[in-house]
Amino acid sequence: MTDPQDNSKKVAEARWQPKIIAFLCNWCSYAGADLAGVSRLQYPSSVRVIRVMCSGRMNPSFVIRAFQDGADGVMVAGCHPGDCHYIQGNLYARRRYALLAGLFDFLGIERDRFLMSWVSASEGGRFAQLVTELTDRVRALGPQTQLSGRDHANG
Amino acid sequence: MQTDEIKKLLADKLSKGELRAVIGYRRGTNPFFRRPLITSSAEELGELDFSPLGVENLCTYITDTVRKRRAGRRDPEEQYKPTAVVVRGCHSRALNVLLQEKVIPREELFVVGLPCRGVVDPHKAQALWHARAENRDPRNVVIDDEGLFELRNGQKVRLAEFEEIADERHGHCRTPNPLFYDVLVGEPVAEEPVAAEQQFSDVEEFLQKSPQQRWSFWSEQFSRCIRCYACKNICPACSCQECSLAKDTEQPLVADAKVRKTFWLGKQQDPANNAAYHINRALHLAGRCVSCGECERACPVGIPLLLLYRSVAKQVFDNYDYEAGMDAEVEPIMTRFSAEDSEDFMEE
Amino acid sequence: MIRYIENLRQFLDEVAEGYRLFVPRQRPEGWFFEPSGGAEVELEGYPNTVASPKEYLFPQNETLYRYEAGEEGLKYDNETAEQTGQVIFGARACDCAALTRLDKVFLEDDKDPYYARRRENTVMIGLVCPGAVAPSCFCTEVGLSPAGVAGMDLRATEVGEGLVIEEISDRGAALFGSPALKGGKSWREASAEEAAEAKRLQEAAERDMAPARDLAEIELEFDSPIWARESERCIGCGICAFLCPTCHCFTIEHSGSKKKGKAIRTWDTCQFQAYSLEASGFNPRPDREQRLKQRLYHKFKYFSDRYGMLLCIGCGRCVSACPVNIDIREILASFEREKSVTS
Repeated sequence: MTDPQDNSKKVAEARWQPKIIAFLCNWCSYAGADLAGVSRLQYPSSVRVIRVMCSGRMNPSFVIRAFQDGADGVMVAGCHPGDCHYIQGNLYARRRYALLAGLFDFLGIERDRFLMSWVSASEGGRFAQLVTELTDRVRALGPQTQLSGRDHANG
Repeated sequence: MQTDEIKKLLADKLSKGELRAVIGYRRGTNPFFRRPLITSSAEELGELDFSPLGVENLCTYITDTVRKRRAGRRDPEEQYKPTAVVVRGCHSRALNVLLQEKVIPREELFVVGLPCRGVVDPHKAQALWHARAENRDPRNVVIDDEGLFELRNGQKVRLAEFEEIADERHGHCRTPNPLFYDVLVGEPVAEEPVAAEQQFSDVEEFLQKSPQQRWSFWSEQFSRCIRCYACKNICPACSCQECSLAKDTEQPLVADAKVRKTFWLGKQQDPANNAAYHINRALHLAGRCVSCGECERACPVGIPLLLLYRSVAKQVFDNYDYEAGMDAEVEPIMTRFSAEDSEDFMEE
Repeated sequence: MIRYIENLRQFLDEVAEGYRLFVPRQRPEGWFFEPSGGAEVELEGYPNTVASPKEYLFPQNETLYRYEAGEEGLKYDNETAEQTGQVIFGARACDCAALTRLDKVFLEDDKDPYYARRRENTVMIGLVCPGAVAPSCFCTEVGLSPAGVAGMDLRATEVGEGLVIEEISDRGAALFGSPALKGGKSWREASAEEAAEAKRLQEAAERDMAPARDLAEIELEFDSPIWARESERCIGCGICAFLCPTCHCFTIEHSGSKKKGKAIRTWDTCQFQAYSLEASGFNPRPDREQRLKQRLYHKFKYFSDRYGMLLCIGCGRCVSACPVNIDIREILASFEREKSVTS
């Protein structure tokens, strides 16, 4: 794991850009992100989107693996309860990710790096706002070192 | 039933072919805990031991048998005769988890319930013996309900009271008596177990630490992990044919399974990869871990795994009012959801 | 020269000025080798460490090389082991003897450059045992001694309030010629009485551990029912192999991408199922029975057939640490009994 001194060096160099991974469900949150783009809403380009069919498809291992591979922040978004294309996938996800968030808390893993929310297909603005918020939080925390000891290649 | 009657009953059933095997405890060469006895020979049943040194969760061998069976080594048409297994309270919860998850049908189990007044913590006992014994010969170790003794010139000399070598877990045990059984060894334990709301004092105490202190603690613990997978292998809840977290080491048991290309973890043993292994595993055990503590006992470098898994059990209890393995009839908690599940952890 | 150290902490403090120093430290979970500045060393009640010191010569993870894609193809960069010297103080005779076994594997025929470099730069200061230090010690049953010198560079014996230090190898002698220790502030020549007392203690330790049997004499039987019986309760973890001072199997993994990454060597064990799994899906050792047999055969037959010494050095870690009490001493004794019954 990197030395905290390396962290402040990195940030100071201002060459470091946070890497945010956003897992978005195909039907609602991905469409919402799309709408943000089409509406020319500004949001940080640090986010990399991975489309999944449903937030219920998301395995907490994906989030952990993203951090292992060097993600500085991870976002999971799905349809609002009641709107899930598969009826209840998001409700399973809600239960699962509550546990993951709680476990991060217990271990002292920087909780602010993980964000989960509901984003509907019409909430382009909300998507942009969430990404901006997460990026700001992550920027303040610096590069993620707790789980990223694993060597990750560029690109 | 008294232990002699139990032994006779089991021997009888084995000889008549009513049981496939008996899984219990017997003396071994380690004086600080008993060794598993897995036998289909009635003669060996004389060795069965029911002392507080029988610590291991023997249900792991039930899981093991089933894993081997799934690999196609046994005839799928064969009616499996029941296997007798000795279980303490927490172990009976583990059996409930296996029943819930349809790992094994009830008819294939003959449950020998063992009411539990607390077991010995082998690490504590060994440390105290090491500190207080005059002679390092392990043959002079005697442990019974009264405590830890050293034999000096044939005399029992007390080195520690039972309370000093007892496993702390008994303090937050919810089921001193097995939840179900076919025969019971001796009399049930009369004392009231800890109330559900009070059972997680160990986790609550840890949560007094600041986030920085917590990570400082866990990253140091995980740095010692040597990825031996003893924790996973000894756990009865871990019944997967192919463990996603140990794919590099435990390939599918069946020869024709697809070779998958994704690896969640490499073998690389470093604090980050180790942490990922433990975090993933803790989530896999949500609502399934019964706090038997075998993971922690087996760990050669002393990582407090039980505390980690109990933190998830506490969340499950606090949020969903659910305790693993209490009822074989209910659906496992993580296969369900409620419209009222909390969204406190989510972004507004 | 035979030397005497009055104050171990002062001595190790001086060593730490010129070398990376590792000494046993007691934690609640057991004793472990840890980096040390020397002055805080406390060896009261020290038995042996939970994990062996082999990780300092053969680390659990070792980056073999890095690669990066450039205009002219892949560029390789060999990772080299640390150049600065290291001193391991307090390793027991069994763990030091283990190094002579690892030397056979890594230094005979083709030299393993990673191991070789570390070996050259490591000074092993062994600490004589007062007798059996752990419940499962059995070094004398495999032909070794609690006061043995195999694999050591210096041998330390606790005499009086300090230690007698004997030179075993040139590397050990050279330690005292190093800038940190040349001045002789923390050591002096041992008196004849001190040297004699060391010898008496060493002999007493050997007598204390007079062996009941010679495990090299035991003949294993390939088709015995003992294997199935003993392996039935094995949970298939890697505790025995990873704690063992002589186990040396490894696998090589790659991490990264086509553009940039590295090759890492990590410990592996024949006790894991996938160890011998072939690409076709066939596994010559599909059951724990075969894998337990492999372990015992390797330790007590295959290695000695090839190199003339047992691979097992009798530290007993596998016996104490096995969560289900599989005891190789007991298994070997079963074969001894079998033989005497049938012969």
